[in-house]
Amino acid sequence: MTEGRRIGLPRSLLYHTFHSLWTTFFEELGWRTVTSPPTNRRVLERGVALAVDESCLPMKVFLGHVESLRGHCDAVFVPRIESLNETEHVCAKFMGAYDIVRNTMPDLPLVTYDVDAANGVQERASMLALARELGAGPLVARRAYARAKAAQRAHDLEMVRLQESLLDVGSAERDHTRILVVGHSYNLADELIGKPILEFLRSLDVEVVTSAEVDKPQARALSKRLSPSIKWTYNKELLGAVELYREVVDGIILVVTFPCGPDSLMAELCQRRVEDVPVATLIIDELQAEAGMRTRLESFVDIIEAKRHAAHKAEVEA
Amino acid sequence: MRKGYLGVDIGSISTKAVVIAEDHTILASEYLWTEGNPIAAVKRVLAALEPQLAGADVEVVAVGTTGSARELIGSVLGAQVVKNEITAHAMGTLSLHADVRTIFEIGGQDSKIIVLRDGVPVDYAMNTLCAAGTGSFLSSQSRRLGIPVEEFGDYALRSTRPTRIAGRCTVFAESDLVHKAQIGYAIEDIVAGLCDAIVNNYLNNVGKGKEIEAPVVFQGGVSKNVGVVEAFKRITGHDVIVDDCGHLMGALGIALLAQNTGAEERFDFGVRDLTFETMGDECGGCPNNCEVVFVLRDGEFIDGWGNRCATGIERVRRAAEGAPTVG
Repeated sequence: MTEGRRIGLPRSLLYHTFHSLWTTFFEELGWRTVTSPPTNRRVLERGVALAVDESCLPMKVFLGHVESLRGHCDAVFVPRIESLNETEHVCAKFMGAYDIVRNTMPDLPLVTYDVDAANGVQERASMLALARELGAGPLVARRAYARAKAAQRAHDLEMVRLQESLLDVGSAERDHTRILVVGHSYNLADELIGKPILEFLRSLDVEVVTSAEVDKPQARALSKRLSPSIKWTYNKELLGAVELYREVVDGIILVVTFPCGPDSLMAELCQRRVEDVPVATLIIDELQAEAGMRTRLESFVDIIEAKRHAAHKAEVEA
Repeated sequence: MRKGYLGVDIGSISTKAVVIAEDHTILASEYLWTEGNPIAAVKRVLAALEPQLAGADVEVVAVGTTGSARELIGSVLGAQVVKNEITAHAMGTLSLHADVRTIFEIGGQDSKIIVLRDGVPVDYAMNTLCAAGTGSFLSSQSRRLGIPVEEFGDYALRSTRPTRIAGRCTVFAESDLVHKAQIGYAIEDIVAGLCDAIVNNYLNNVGKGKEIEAPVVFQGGVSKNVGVVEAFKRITGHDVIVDDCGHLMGALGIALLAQNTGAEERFDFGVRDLTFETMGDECGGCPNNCEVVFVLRDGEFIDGWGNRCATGIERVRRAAEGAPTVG
């Protein structure tokens, strides 16, 4: 495997969170990275064919991406991530992704690393072990890891900075309706799942803020206000984004893929506990009908704008 | 010459249209079945509206479309405004009942609830993929029982003790219904049970967590079913208003929205004599293979949608304009 120089990265799931870390890491080790194309119908169809029926939509999309890298790289990178810190979990699909791919496509060469911080398996040790497996000496490996972490940190900070510069504009000077779209990065950044939603909202002249660009540690801490006991790292970030932005947005849209267990809990929790801001839940599956999505989003925005106008009128009259 | 505004609401089952005057009075209206052909339906609607306006000295200056075929018919009619049905229904209903606080709407395949406070819609919900508890559910059950759907309500009113029917799913409801018939329940009690099931299903699905406050207005095709209306009154404990023109609220609302845009362009009823043709094509330009639909007016491309990018429409436009004119 060490003769090959190309690592395939599926543009799916945690790629949308960790692409800076991963691409920098492999490139520092002297490998080229090949990323699968943005999700399209064919990727989805292949994924649907490969996955068991009960898989969630992102998992189906993921398998389609892995399959699309076949023949374009020497090995596909699929990490096995069980927990990112001692007290939290991540969704079981991140735990199972590597083994699912290995069993679904047994002939496909894979590389992986494990993270299970709750049980003492740390990212740093695992990534250094992977570097050794890929033929790197200890010095190169450590340097690659350090640079990868720095690149990821820089990227995360830039995202937060961009979002906050947007939010600097006070609500009074704002002409546009501002909506927070809450959903996993792998859904919101996906060409087929989340992008059409964000684009449609922008076409309605809505200013869109998303949970993907939130300050993650801050969000995880804030999530306790909405739920002190939720254990999933990524759902904590989403709840934290709701908590962080609820006072500066006019509405919240929760984008949930079918049949996500953690998200269904989170959506219900938001619908019940967020009473000061209108909340809508949009559930997306592979049979998505764009017309239905548009009807629901357009009417949600109409209602929010009608309310804003009424409030504005009352202010002018008073 | 007075100004008039045309609003067309093209649903999956029925097509509704009104022409209103500047003071919002309805000058002409029509209600007919879409029959799976929205363009033909809208032509029939126009043919029915025009004679109603004869002698009224009205010129239609703006058009609005709503309902599931709103984009297609919006292109055909050159509409000034194309809007979703929730907004249209809320607007139309508010023009009749300025104090309305809850709107129930049950149509052919959709059911929705709109919550309004102080004349502004503040919340809504729509059914998900499943059409259980909508008009199509009722009509399939009425077929099974051999009762015309129009008489369904009268059967329900004759019942003194409605039987319990599971309304969550059409398939289960059907087996429940057959079971109840086989063990000897009167048909009236079964029909009344179905009406109760519709209402309970509605309140537990789209109505879940919504504050239902009076005045309540009930609209959509199913509001014509007196059995369901009575069930709503009994179960919610509120009076439920059903207007004679309740089925026109979407059309009225979108006509008002067309008027509000301020954009004016003389509308020609002669549009119904033009040939409109829709064609669907798979773009094939990239792996998304979008299903692009486009409309030709007398062979000329007027609009298209369904594409995720701009190139798809251009490709089908070129293909369409090069293609021989049909009909």
